[in-house]
Parts: sequence; structure tokens; C-alpha cells
Amino acid sequence: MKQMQSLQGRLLLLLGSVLFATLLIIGVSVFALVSSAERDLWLGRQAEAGRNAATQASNYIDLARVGLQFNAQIEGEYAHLEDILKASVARNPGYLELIVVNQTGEVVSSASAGETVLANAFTIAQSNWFKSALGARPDDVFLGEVQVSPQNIPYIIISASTESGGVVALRLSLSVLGKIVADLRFGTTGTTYVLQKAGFIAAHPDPKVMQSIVNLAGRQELETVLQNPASSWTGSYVNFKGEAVIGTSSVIPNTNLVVITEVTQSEASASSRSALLVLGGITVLFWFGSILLTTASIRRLVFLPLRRLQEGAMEVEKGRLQFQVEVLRPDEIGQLAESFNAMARGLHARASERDLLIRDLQAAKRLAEENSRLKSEFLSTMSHELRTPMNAIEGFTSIMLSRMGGVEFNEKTERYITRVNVNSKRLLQLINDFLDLSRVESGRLELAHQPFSPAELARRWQTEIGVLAEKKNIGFELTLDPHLPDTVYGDEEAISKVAINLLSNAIKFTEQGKVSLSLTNGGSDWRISVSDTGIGIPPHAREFVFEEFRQVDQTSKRKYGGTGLGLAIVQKYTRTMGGTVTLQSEVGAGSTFTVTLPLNLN
Amino acid sequence: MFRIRWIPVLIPIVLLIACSPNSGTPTLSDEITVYYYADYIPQTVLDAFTEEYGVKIDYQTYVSPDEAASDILSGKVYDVVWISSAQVPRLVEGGVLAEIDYRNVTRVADVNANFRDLAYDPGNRHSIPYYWGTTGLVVRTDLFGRAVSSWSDLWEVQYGQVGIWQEQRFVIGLALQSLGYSVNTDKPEELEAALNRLVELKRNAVFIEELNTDSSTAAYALADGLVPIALGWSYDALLGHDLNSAIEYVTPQEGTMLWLENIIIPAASERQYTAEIFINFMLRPENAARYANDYFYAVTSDAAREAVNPDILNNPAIYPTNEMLARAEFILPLSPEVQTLYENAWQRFLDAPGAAQ
Repeated sequence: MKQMQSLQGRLLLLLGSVLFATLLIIGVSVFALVSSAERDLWLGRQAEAGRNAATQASNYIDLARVGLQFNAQIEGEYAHLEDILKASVARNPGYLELIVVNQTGEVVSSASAGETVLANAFTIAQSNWFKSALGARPDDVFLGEVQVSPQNIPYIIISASTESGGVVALRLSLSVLGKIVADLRFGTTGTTYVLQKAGFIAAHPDPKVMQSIVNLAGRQELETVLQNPASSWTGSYVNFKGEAVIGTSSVIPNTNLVVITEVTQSEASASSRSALLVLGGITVLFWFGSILLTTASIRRLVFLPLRRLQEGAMEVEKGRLQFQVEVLRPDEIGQLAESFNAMARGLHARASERDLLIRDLQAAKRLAEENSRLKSEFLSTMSHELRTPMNAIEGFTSIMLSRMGGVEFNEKTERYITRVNVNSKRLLQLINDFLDLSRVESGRLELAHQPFSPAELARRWQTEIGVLAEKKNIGFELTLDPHLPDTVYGDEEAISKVAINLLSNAIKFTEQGKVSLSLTNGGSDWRISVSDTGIGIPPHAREFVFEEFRQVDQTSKRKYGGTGLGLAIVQKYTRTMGGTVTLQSEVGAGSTFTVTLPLNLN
Repeated sequence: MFRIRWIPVLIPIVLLIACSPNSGTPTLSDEITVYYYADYIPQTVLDAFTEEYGVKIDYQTYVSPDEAASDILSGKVYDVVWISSAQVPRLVEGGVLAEIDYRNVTRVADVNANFRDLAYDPGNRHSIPYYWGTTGLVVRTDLFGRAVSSWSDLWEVQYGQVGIWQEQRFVIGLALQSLGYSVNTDKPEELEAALNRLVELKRNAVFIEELNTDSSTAAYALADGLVPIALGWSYDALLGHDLNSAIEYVTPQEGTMLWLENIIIPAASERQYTAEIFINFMLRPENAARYANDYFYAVTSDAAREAVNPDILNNPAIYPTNEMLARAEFILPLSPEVQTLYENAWQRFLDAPGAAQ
């Protein structure tokens, strides 16, 4: 079988590609959906944690601020001031120190839990908290930068102006913010921390971060948050610890503090990644399975039946027409198989019919040949049986006319006897011709193979026929090819019969002019040509002049006599000798018959 | 086929690359330049830093803080500069100071609360206070004849002349404080009153710089008996006490002018990380204590107190008591208009007739 492009392969490629593209699109879409949903989920959790921390922190600082403002309002009652401050510090665990200073920065009253820092400070007048609050509106509370004490406790200083023109300040521990953010857990890497607007970390669950007073002011990713802490924000970035995270922010209302929540991107996309792996695995498996299933189906439904059909066609080609393909299914392929089977059955039926016909024809042919042979045999037998009495009639009438029997008869009798004699001769001639013909047809003509001289033979024909020509007063011409061999092998009698027939025919149809006989050497054959200057043969008649009993027209038969068997005998003899007869003729100018015989030199 | 197999492999790779930590850990440079007064940082501490970190110190010096600030403003490149707090605001305004990355200067937590978040550099964004001191009177108690307790004592000298410095703000400041005004006053009438008092003072005052003695300190002028009393600082008193045990330091009761020396990193520095590491090293308790012990100054580090010599720690001239600091005031930068008032007053003071030498 020659190299062919596999339809199966191409179908598989097309199907595989389309399926792959579809699965890829579905997979990517599902993954995008899952990862975005997961991200939203995390952002939701983070935002909630952030809000939670912001609310708690806000409550804490608000409480402190309300306390501070309360203290600012009652600052005028000097007598009780210190008691009030002490009570405030005692009530609130985060209050490290609460002081009231006058407008020059001198401490008026103070209370502290533990170390006294603000009340002992000699730099109050130059400090940021004092200068920022001094003369400000009472509700415009100053929130200082986040500080870390040498004991690593983060604190801020909150200050506000008092009614008498001084400043009340609170040193508030932010360790409570640290507790708040440390208590907020989401996921395993979720971190919440509090960022001061200037970039300082106010609270972080990691004590190491708190100890190092990390300032995130320079962090690109937090720039938006620090510039506009109040707007909600989310971002994906690498944080100051070098972790890739997703972050959200929540502002602590009325402060310059922002709660940042971060979760590592690897955790935030963990489900998506496992989903991707599972999705990828399922997709590959599904793809594989589909391809295998499709391949198997196509093979079973299309290609195997096609191969069976192909094998069937090859069987039919080898001649096994009764071969039938197995039809399994009622679908298109099944119909094709049915049609194939029908075609094979039809071919088979027609071939059987043809075989029968051929057998009949062969039988008919054999019968016809036998009949023809029987007919010829019958004819030759009949001729023989006819010739014997005819010879007797002709012989005895000839004897009577030559008066050899001593019989006397009158003139009238002589005329009758002459007529009997002439007619018997004609009849005898006819019978001889029949005999010749039937001998050829019945296959009983046996040709001799003997040496003779063509030139000598031609001169004998001239002697024999020249008399007739002289009688009709027409010329006879013999031309002999000098290259003609002296001796050729063949049947002298059969050749003479052909030549004499042609010559007597020529003389018969020639009224004036001449008859020419020529013998020529054709190399591998030799030719006997007989030309006349007679009436010629019209073109339509040239096809049947060689048939038995045919003359050009029925009138010529009466005028020229003859049996009508002459040319038929010529042709049959010539063919039997392996030669051919050709005819050239022109009506009114004459005809030339040429007999070509094989030149046998031994 | 192989393409789909690679996707699950590629995505984690891409994620890994995307998630890889910021690996740009800064590296130390070979050398940093430090800019300060000559011999004002202990050589032993500088050597220790070079030995520990392999970073050489190129120590460059200046004479006046004003000159140093001009250098920085003009774009000269230094990595670490010690400078007076009075110069910091103009440097901050000029945008020539780097914002300090406190992740590298964690020792800042040791800084005493008094020096944190001061109004001239909120949040200590650009400066870290390193050491500080008061301004007072250095007195030869044996020559002065009576107890000294206030600025006003300068006007009541019975024997000898008063030693002062060509330091505009300190001299005007002492006059303002003697009158109960702020040393940073912007009131022309207060300034005028102070000037009148100074013109009076000048009749019996000499500039330490103009005496034929070591002009970097008042110690020798006092030890040599050239002046019985002088405007001065703890350093002068401590050095003088070694020369003559009658030399004492007095913090005036009207108030004292506080000064504070800060460490800054000019923004032009390309070695900020190394500079921060160096600053953190200087803030280590043992190194800060070394500074106090060698130079008789109070360092801002609370953690260093344990390592400071008890003699120094308990010396109120160096580590003043809270009572002494009750009326202390920083010398702060002035607005340009007020600055002009001060300069005019100072010129009038310089033009006023001085003491016959």
C-alpha cells in the first residue's frame, strides 16, 4: 500500500487542539475565578481584622482623649487637680503620665504610674507636644510621634490646650495596641500592625520590630496610605520584612494612626494554587481520557468498518464477487457496507449471466461450425455424386457428336445433342467450382509444397489463356520480373487455379484492349498482377466481389456468364496459402487484381 | 500536550520569583567622612568602629557650626556630621538632611525623653541628639570673694573683669535671662533692655578670645587669674578645676541656656547605611559613656549612665539636677526679622566702649 496521509491522525490533531484550547480557556477562567474569589476572601478578612483593630484602638485613644479633655476642663480647680490626675492614672492602665503645665511650660500638676518623665522634663517649652497644643482649640488634640521608651514600651504623647491657656498632656502607653494587634489572628501569616502617619510603627505583634522602631516612611508601597490614611487601600507588595504580601489599611479615626493588615501572598493564594494543581491534573486527565475515548470510538465506528470495506473491495478486486462485508450497525457506515454488499451482489449476478451467455455463444459457435463443415462435406459429396453422371452425359454426347459410335442422326438431333453437351459442360464446370470451394471451406484442401518455376508457370498460363484472348480479338501481355527467383516452393496447382480464374475473368469482362499479366518479386513475397481494360468495378461493389455467387449486378451475370464463384475461389485459395488479394479499379478503364504470396525458397 | 503540563510548573516558578524577598541588603562602604570640631570624638571609639566593621573614618573638622551648616547647604558631601541643634532647622528647611532609617539606629530608644520630638525636628526625622549641656558661670571662688548664684552677679564684680565670648546668642541670652526674659525673645523692647544691660556690662568685660592664653577655653584665663568670673560651660569648669581647685561652675538661678549637639546625615551622602551603622555604634552605652568620661559632657543616652564615671554623673556641672534645669531654655533659631534685630543689637554691643585692658 502506498504512503498516505492518515485521516485518523489529522482528525486526532484537530480534535486534540480544539479540546485543548477549550480546556485551557475553561481552566484559566476557573483559576482566575477561584484566585480572585480567594483574594477577595482574604481582603475581606483583613479588612475586618483591620477595622476591628482600628475600632479597639480608636476606642482606647478616644477614651484617653475624652479623659484628657475632661482634665483640661477642670484644670482650673487647682485644689483638686492633682487628685483628679492621680485618679485618672490609677483608673486607666495605659496612662503612664498625666501632667498639666502653664503657658510657659512650667508643671502645674502631675501624676504618673511608675517613672516620671514629662513632669521632670526641662525641655517642655521646646517640646513638640507643648508647642503644638499651646494656644490650639481645646478639641484640637495633638497626637505625638510614636516613641519607644528605653524599656521598649511604645507610647504617644497626647496633649490639648487648657482653658487657662496651659497644656494638659498624657503619656499613653501603646502596649495595649500591641495586645490588640497581637490578638488579631487570621491565617498563619496574617499580621496586623499600627502605623503612624510619619511612618513609625506604633504597634506590631513582633517585639523585634517594636524594639527597632521601624520607620516605614520611605516604603514605596505605603506611600499612598501615609499620604491619605483615611481612604481605604489594598495593595500587593514586598513589605519591609521582605515578604510578598497583600495588605489593607484602616485608619484609626481622628488619629494619625493606620492599621495595616498583611498576609503573605503565598498563603493568600494557597487554595488557588492547590486548585490550579487539581484543575491542571483533572484537565490533563480529562483531555487524555477524551482523546483516548474519541480515538477508540472513531476507530471502532469509522476506521475499522472502513478497513473492512477496503478489505472487501480488495477481495472483490481479486474476483471473489460473492464476498460480503459484515454489516454491524444501522448507521451511515452500515449503509455504506450494505451498498457495498449490494454492489458486490449485483456484480456477481451480472458476471454469472455473462458466463452463461458466453457458454451459450460458444456452444452455438461450435454447432454452427459443425453445421458448416457438414454442409461442405455434403456439398462435396453431392458434387462428386453429381459429377459422375454429368461426366457420363458430357462424355457420351461428345462421342455422339464426333460420330465415333457410328450413329447416324439428322441435323435437328445434332442440334439437340449439342445443346445437351454444352449444358452438361457448364453444369460440370459449376460442380467443379463448388467442389473446389467446399473443399477449402470444409478444411480438406491440402496444399502441396513443391518446387516450381514461376516464369515457366506463367508461360503455361499464357498458352492456355492466349487462345481465348485471340478468340475475342484482344491483346495479352506477359511481363516477368528479372529478379524473380528461378524456383519457389508452393502448390503449383492452387496458384494456377487462382491465376487462371483471374485471367479468364479479365478476358471475360474485356471487350477491347488487352489483358496484362505480370509477376514481380516483392522481397519477402512475390506478386501476380492481372490487369484489364474492361468495364471496371464500381467502388460500392469492391467489398463483395469476393463473396460467393456475387457479380457486380445481376445483368452482368446474364451478359458475361460464369458461376459467380470465381473470385470467391481466388480469395479462399490465396488466404489458404497465406497470401492476400487486393483490387484496384476504375469504372470504364479497367481493373487490376494483385495476389501477394509468401516467397518460399525452400 | 507538553504545554499544558508546563503551566502548573511555571506558575509556582513565576510566583516564587515574584515572592522572593527583597534581597537588596545594603552593604557597608569602605570609608565614611565625619565632620566635627577637631578632636571632639574619642579616637579610641573611632578605632573600635574601624576594627569592628572594617570601615575607615575620614575625620574632617570645622571651627564654627555656622560654617559647617553652610558647607552642608552648599552641597559638600559628608556622611556623618555632629552639629548644634540651633543649625538643624535651617538644614531641614534646606532639604539637605537625609531622613534617618531608624531600622539601622535602634539605639535611639536609649535617648532620654527630654530630647525626643523637640519642636525643631518633630519626630527626630533628621537628627539624633547626642550630648548636651548648660551654659553658666565659671568662677574663681577664691578671687570672687562671695558666693555666685545668678547672671546678675556679673554686674556686681568687685575685683577684676568679666570674661565673655564673641558668641552673639549666649551673650545676649545671658542678659535676657538676667532680666527674666526668654533667650529666644522676639520682643524688641526686651532685646533693647538686654542691650542696655550689656553695654553696661561691656565696660568691665573682656573677650576670652582676645586674651593671650588658650582661646578655646576659659579655663586658663581663670586659672591664670586673668578674670575671676567668665561665661562658660561645664568643660571649662572641669578643665579649670584640674588646674585650680578654686574654679567652680555655677548654673544661674534665672535660668540656663541649654545647648544640644546632634548627629545628622547630609542627604548628599551616598553611604547612608554605613553612616547609620556608625551612629548606632556611637549610641552604644559604652561608647556614649566614653564620650561623657572623656569630654565631661552629658550624653543623651539613658542607657549609658551606668557606664559613666560616678564623678561625672554626680557632678551637677555636667549632669545638672532637675532644680538647676527648672528655668533652662534652648537657644533656638530666630525668624529672619528677629535675627536682624539680634544682629543690630550685637553690633551696637560690639561698638560700645569696652574695658580698658
